[in-house]
Amino acid sequence: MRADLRFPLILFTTWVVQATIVPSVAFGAVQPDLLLVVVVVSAVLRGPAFGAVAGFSAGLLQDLLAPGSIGVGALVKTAVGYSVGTIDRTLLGDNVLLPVALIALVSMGHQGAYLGVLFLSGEGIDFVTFALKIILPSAAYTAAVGLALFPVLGRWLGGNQAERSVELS
Amino acid sequence: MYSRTSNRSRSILVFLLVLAALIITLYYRGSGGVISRAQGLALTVVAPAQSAVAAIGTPFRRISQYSLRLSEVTRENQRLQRENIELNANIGRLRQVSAENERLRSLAGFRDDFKLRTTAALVIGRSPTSWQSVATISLGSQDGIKERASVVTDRGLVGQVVTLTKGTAIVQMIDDRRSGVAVEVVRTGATGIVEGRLNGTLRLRFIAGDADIKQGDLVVTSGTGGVYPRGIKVGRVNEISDTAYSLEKEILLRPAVVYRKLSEVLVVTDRPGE
Repeated sequence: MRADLRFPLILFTTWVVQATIVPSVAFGAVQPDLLLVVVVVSAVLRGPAFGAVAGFSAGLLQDLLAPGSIGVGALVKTAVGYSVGTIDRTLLGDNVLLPVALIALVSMGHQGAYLGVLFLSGEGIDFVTFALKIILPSAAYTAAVGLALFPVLGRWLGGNQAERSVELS
Repeated sequence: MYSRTSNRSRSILVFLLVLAALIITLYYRGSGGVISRAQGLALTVVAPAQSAVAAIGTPFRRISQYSLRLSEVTRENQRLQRENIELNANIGRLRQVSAENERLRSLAGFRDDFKLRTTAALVIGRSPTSWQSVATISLGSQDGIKERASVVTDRGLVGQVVTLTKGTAIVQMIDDRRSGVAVEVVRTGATGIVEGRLNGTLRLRFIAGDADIKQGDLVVTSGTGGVYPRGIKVGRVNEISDTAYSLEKEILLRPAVVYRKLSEVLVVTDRPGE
């Protein structure tokens, strides 16, 4: 199957899983963000432009099922996808823990940025409570799930050398 | 390290960020017809999968809940048997009081706010993010559900319908950070607003500074605002503390309902008393 078709398929499947199975393994409001893992892997493998598109699509799909702040997830995940895409892939090497640490950091940054956008749009946000009770545990949960998903997604999404060489030029 | 960015990448980034900002603006301005249709489409696509997962998961969830609660249920059963004896003794007296109350209410022209017509719905999906407390239910506009309809259980208030499709609806739970419920403290009659905190607790706000509030006080809907019917249980006061930078006390409630564990709810379809 062409790599171009693989991404939409993986994105759609992850979106359905995020909406159906993930909430049942949540601890209160703390749940892993599988779509963020897909965005990070896509961005690492295919560069900033693809990362931005992946982030926008994933964020918007997530927003559509969580009314209240539509577009915020798309905005934040676009920025995340682009930023992660600028990281040199070779820096991550074959070490599994580095991508997982990256996912944890990105998850914290992503959720902090999400809260920041909500704050700017006029919502009262209790940053300390959210940081301790949601952001940190969610980042740990997402990173733990990312540990299992990163190699699998890497195999499915990798191998598009032509596109990456365009990005690198 | 070498640069992976290019002008093309930056242009794509700027375009997508502007597009996302436009979507946010349209949504907040309430002029998002396309967005509503996209939401409806997304729900229609995901709802069958959510129903299937809910149907598969419900028996397992019940079995684990039952086994975990077995000893608790045994103790509760013994307590309920004792209570039952006492309650039977009180029934006769209460019937008298109830009849007298009905006569008086009728004379005073009061409406009976508790005659609610409800329809049972299954919870087939929950929030796909940590930042919203919402649930997808198995009923929609074709079942007579309307936007802003109240959603309850036998234990208390759950929330209100915020998005509708033909066969499904999204319910915003009252622990969502955007939720606000007009409430009344039963013991004193003090009124305020209950806001969601996402971490399973609720905060009681805008209550008079000299209001007499104690731990354990029952808080119910006041009916003000017209969204929720009067007298539905919201929770009990669990924690009262002074805050350093505010005149307002921090009053936290323990909710009457565990929102994220619900599998069935009742949607209020009609309030004939009003």
